[in-house]
Amino acid sequence: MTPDPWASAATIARDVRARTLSATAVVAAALHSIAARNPALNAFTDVVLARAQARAAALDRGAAPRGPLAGVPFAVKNLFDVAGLVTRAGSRINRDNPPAARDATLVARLEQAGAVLVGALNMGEYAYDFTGQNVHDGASRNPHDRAHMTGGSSGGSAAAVAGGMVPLALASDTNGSIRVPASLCGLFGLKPTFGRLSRAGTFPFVASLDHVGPLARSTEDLALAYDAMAGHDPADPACQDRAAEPAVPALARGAAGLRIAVLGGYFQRGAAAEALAAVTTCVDALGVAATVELPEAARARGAAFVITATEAAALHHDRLRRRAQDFDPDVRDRLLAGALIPAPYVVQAQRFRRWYREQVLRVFADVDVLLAPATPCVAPRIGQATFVLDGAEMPVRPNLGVFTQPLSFIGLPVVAVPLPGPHLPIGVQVIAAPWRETDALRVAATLEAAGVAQAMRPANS
Amino acid sequence: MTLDDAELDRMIATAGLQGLSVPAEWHAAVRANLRVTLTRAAEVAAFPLPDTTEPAPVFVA
Repeated sequence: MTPDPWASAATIARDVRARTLSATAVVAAALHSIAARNPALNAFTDVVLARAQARAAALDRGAAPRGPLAGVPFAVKNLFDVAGLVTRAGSRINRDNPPAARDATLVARLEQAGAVLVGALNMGEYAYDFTGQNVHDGASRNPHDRAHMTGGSSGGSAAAVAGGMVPLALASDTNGSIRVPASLCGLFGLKPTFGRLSRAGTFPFVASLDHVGPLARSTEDLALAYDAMAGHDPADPACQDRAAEPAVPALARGAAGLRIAVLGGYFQRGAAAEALAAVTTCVDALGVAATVELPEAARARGAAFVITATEAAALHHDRLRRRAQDFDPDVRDRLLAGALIPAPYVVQAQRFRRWYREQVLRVFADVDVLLAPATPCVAPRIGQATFVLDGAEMPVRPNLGVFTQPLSFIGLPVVAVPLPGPHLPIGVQVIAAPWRETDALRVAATLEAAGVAQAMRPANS
Repeated sequence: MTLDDAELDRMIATAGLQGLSVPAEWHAAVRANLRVTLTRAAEVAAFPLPDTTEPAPVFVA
């Protein structure tokens, strides 16, 4: 059997476990695809060829577990530690650090399930980005039209999966960095509940808001990866000690019994016609009749903005003092501004966060799943500085996350599902109550089974 | 909240108290980011909350 670079992780794992396909052949095909496609897409910053080949060979000779992700090639945003690689986190400054001594927890857990790491991926500097552009490594490029943004900050993760180089990638999401690139590149992305998946061995951005999760071309692949990665990790103080709630078995239940509503108000203002049309398509497919609003969603976004700027400034304070000239200027200037914000504003934003969480949890007393646009528009062109949002010309970089920020602000689990468009895809957020990832994944799987949500192969591939 | 450039520049001038340097050629961009962040911070601060509302991250001993 010849490996198909567009095969799903589930298909690859099934064939490798059945020994109708060797892990060595799968990994060789992935490495070939990376060599052929990456020069145009600029997704990978590192390829761990020898490690991947050795791991695949171990799988084939039975020296490594052929688990639920047997032989599945994957790659990680370059803020995940990979033993032997410098964790650059999209920066120039971190390249002066020594290589990581060990893998991040989630890298290790995916490999324990049989997956094979093939490399590390481009990202916006220190994850402070929604565009997928990087002043040091160049922009990652949207596989559906290379003149357009991938979205960020997990731009390389999205380009690698949407471009047919790997079926699975890991990313991080502080304010939308999984969901924005999923939307712009036409992928499924899971941002789990805050505290669900371990961040140990990842370079931080905003400790109060950082999440990690997978990008894939199907709901089943998201669920497979999620199940392999879930579980308490004392190395991440935010990671909660909860019983496993496997997602794969839940997918077959579909959306039956789930109360679904669409988010109105804030989440419908300013979105372009294609973003609203994508939500309407999902609403129609699911037979949704209810509309609900989240109170003070705009203020929630503002509070997320303040916490992000100030916590990130604190994290990078010493680097700003010593090496300010080595930052991406767009990142540096936001961090410097964050360093000047008075402390009472930061504490008030965290107090507001608790109030907002309580209000949103009340909404979930009457509904299980909410739908909202993932991005206000399809992918802007690379280098585009502004776009029109709610009738006003606004900078692209901080505003692509206008619909994602009020949700990650309180750690809700969200699956971004892709809807094809005439030129470029766009995503819809499927949002569940805290710790109910399975509800969001069930709805995503239902939309996928109905042919509404699809990760389309790029026309030029 | 209305913030004029002079007020923002006075805030930027305090960066040195933290050991941060903001050369003149960076001022315009830092000022623009400061204006946006302060505006949003003021909107959040204007929201009335009970004195008993804890900040979201509560340390567990």
